[in-house]
Order: sequence, then C-alpha cells, then structure tokens
Amino acid sequence: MENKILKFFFLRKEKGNTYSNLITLDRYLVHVEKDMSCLGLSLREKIRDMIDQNLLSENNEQKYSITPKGLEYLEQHSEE
Amino acid sequence: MIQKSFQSLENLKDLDLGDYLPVGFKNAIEYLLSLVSQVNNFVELTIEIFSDLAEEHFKLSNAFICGLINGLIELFEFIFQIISFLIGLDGLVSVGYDDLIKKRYQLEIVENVLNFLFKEVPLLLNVFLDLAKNIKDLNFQELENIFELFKEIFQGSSGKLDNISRYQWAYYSGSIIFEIIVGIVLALLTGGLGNAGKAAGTISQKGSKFLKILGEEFISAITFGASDLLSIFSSLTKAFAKACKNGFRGFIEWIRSLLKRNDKHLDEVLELEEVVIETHKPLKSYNPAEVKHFIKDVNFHNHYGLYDLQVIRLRAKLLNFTLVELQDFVKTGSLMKIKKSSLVKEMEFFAKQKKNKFALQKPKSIKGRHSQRDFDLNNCGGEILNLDWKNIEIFEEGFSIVKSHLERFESVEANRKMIKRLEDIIYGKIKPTDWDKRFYTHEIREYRRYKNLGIEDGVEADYDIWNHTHSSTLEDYKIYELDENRNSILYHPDIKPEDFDY
Repeated sequence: MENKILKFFFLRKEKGNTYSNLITLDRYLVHVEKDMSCLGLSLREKIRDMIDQNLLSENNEQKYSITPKGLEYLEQHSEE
Repeated sequence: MIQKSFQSLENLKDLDLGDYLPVGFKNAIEYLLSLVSQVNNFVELTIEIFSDLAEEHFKLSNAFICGLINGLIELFEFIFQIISFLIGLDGLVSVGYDDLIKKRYQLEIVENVLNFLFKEVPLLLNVFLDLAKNIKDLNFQELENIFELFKEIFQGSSGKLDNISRYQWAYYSGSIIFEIIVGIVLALLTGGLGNAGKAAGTISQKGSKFLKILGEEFISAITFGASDLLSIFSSLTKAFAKACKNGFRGFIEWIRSLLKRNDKHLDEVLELEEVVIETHKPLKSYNPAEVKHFIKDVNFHNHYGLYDLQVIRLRAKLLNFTLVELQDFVKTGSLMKIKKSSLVKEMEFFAKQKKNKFALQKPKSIKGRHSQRDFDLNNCGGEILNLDWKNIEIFEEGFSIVKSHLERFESVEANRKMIKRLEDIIYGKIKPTDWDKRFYTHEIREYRRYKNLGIEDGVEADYDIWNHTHSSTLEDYKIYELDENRNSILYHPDIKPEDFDY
C-alpha cells in the first residue's frame, strides 16, 4: 500500500502538483489502482504512519507531498 | 415634477409579464407598480397640504420635500451599488442565460433586497407625509441652524456652500438625513477608510466625508455583508421614523444628536437590532399560499403530492425552518425521489443538528455493508436511506447542485468530464447511462449530507467528513465502487485512469 500511495504523490509531483489532498488520493486508489483495502479511517491512519516515517510531509492546508526519503523508498521498493 | 417622473413608470402596467419572466422579476415589477402608486398618493397629498402655505413658505417647503425624495432615491441607488459590490454582481446585465443560472444565488439576494427595500418605502413615505402635514410648524430658523452645521462638515474651510440660495439649503436640509445614513453605512462598511465609497457615486462621496466626524470609535467589529447593510438601513429608517413622530422638532433633534454623536456608541444611537433578510425568515412569517408556491417550484419530479407537500410544509414550520431550508429539502428530496417519511425524518435530524450548532457527535465507526468502506455512522449527515438511482431523470437543477458541490473539491479531470457528460445530457446531445445516473444521484445525496452537517456550499471539509458522507451515500444507493471486472461504477468507461490526475 505504501508503494501505491507514494507512487501517486510521485506522479503528481512529476506533473507539477507537489501537494495533494486525501480525497484525490482516495479516488486514485479506487479508480486507478483498483485497491479498496485501505480507505477512509484506515487510509488516514496509514498516512499518519508514513508522516512519522518521514515518507510524506503535510502542509498547513491538510495536503501532503512525497519527501526525499519517500522518493528513495519508492525507488528501492518499486519492483515489489 | 417628481409626480411626472413616477407617472411615466405607470407604463409598466402595459408590460406583458409572460411566463418566460422569472418569478423574481415579476415580483420586482409588481412592487415597482405599487411604489409608483404610493409616491403619486404622497405627492398629491403634499400638494394639497402645501396649497394653504404662503408663497415663500411654499417654495422652501417644496424644496425641502424634493430634497427628501431625491435623497431617498439616491440612497437606494447607493444601497444597490454596495450590494452589487458585496455579492459580486458587476456586469450582470450583460450576461447570458447560462451566467444567470450560475448567478442564481446572487439574484436571489438581489430579489430579497428588493423585497426588503420596497417594504421600507411605505414606512418612509408615511414619515415624509407626517412631516409634510406639520410643515406649517416648521421653524425655518432651526432648519437653518442644522444647515449651518451641515455646511461646516461638508465644506470645512473651502467656503463652497456660502453662496447658495435659501431654496438650495432647504433642499439640502431635506436630503441631509440620507447623507448621514450613507456616511454611517460607509463608516461601518469600510472600517473608516471609505474605499468602497469610490463605487457608490455622488452621495457616497459626500457621505464618506462623514467618516471624519464619525471617527474610529464608531467602527463596528462586525463582518459586513448584505444582511448587515440592510440591518443598519432598517435600524436607521426605524429610528428616523421614531424621531419624526415628534414632527420637525424630533427630526432636527435626531439629526443633531447624530452629528454631535453625544459620546454615545453607535449601537445606542441607531438602536441596532437584528434584521434577517427574506430568505432567512422563518416560515411562519409567510402565508401558506406563498410557501406552497415556493415549494411547488422545486418539486421537480412532482414526486410529492399535494398532501405530502402539506405534511412537509407543516413539519418544517414546526421545526422553525427558513424558506430556503425547506426548499432545499424538497428540491433534493424530489430530485432523489426520497420518500416523504424519510424526508421528514431527515428534516427532524437537521433541526436537531442545527440546534446543537452542528457539533460533531460521539463517533460510531462501521464498515459499510455495500461500500465495504470504514466510516463514522454518527457523523455522516443522517441515517442511511433506501434510495434508487435507476428511475430518475437528470434535471438542470440537479446538475447545478452536482457542479456546485464538486467545486468545493480539488479539481480533477475525471469530475470535469462527468460534469460535461451531464451537461450534454441536459442539452439532449447524449442519452444518460447508468454511470451518469449513479454519479448524478450520488453527488446530490452527498451534497445533502454536507448540508445536514452544516457545511455550506463552496466549503471544502476535510477527508474524514468526505469519507463519511461519500461512504454513507454509497450505502444509500447500495453501491460498491467497482464492478465484477474491477471497473468504476460511478465514472463512465470513457473516463481514463489519467483523468484522475495522478
């Protein structure tokens, strides 16, 4: 799941949208990744964990972006 | 001359008020016709009263009354300019039908402002008439004293008003009250800076000079909006009417007290009270026929029969709903074909929420039976209903709700494309598919849930709120977001993965 989330933020960043909210991420997971295993309260929980691990950062508008550590993590785990 | 100007407005009677005109415009024209007749009556009565006056007294009194009427008209112009400024209606007259649809909310405000102002006019005309009746008692020396004060304020040391005739000062003395009203409104509106005055023409330029006199101690901390403007206007006209009950003496004393401030706080001087504009009035202030008319208009699918509407209306009255709240329920209820019993239950839920100032309830997390999503059942904007998306039609009004609701979220190409599809369906370019119907009903129901949580249009709530309302809406329609081939059930197959803006 971390990979899918980081991939979303990475692709967004590539398109020039550094920060994104969780509603857009939720739609991506459902309609693009077709993965409904971690949505709603669980997704919120997962994002908190990823912030604690410094894979994601949050701005003051409750929007999130991938950190350099997140990019590194994605590179290392992209084959999984 | 005034009567002649207003008489020309009587031609409005000959205007064909066909069905194509929006109700708001028809009402405005009817109000204008009633205003014309009231002003004509006022002028006729004034002429009768003045006929007994000696020539000099007649001329001065005439100038004074002309000042009153013109001041009133300029004040209305000023109010409309400020309202237009506040709600962003600039350039409305040159827009097309589509833009008018988009500006519907603003137009409703304008309609309500018109209704409000037209109700104030008879009060003011009665005050003028009382003054006219007492014109024989008018002490011109006292009026002259007021005018001296007026000159001091307006011209400072420039001396521009020194060489004007007695008739001119009588005219200015009539319009002075409106100058003061404008000055006070501007002081409140601009926080003392007078910037908004630039948009308001001659009267406000004069009025803005009052800012210097009114000073910073009068500047209220209120966040100024259209209803605040009307509130102040209403308070001023009521205070003006009250003062004029004592004839010219009262009129002059009140103006003097305003100009001198008497070290009172503005609220005390104006006796400010809460004034609620028409759309926010409780239902009990309307007659049943009016309410029936308003809710019939939003019963799009004729989903509710006359008896249903009667039950809904009476319950809304009991719950102390405003007209807008009731209309909203009937509108979304009819678009989604919600049963009367469920609608009434939800109205009761909404009233309870409103009473609690939409405070969050103790959470109750569940996994949706159909959606398979985790969400908070106690904070999702109402109970889960048994709704059907299949037997609905896509209406322009529903489309507007969908569009307005989606505007609160981060813009995503997939939503834009679905909006375009709904628009094409309304214009008959394409036939509605199951995806369109599911998307349309889902967004309207989600919008209703946002409303039930007290979240106004355009306000983007956080992910949790969206998840609770989104998931519970999926439950309402018994939807899992992916079909057996893992394709989206809400977004049309034409919507590509890249449209989700990753």
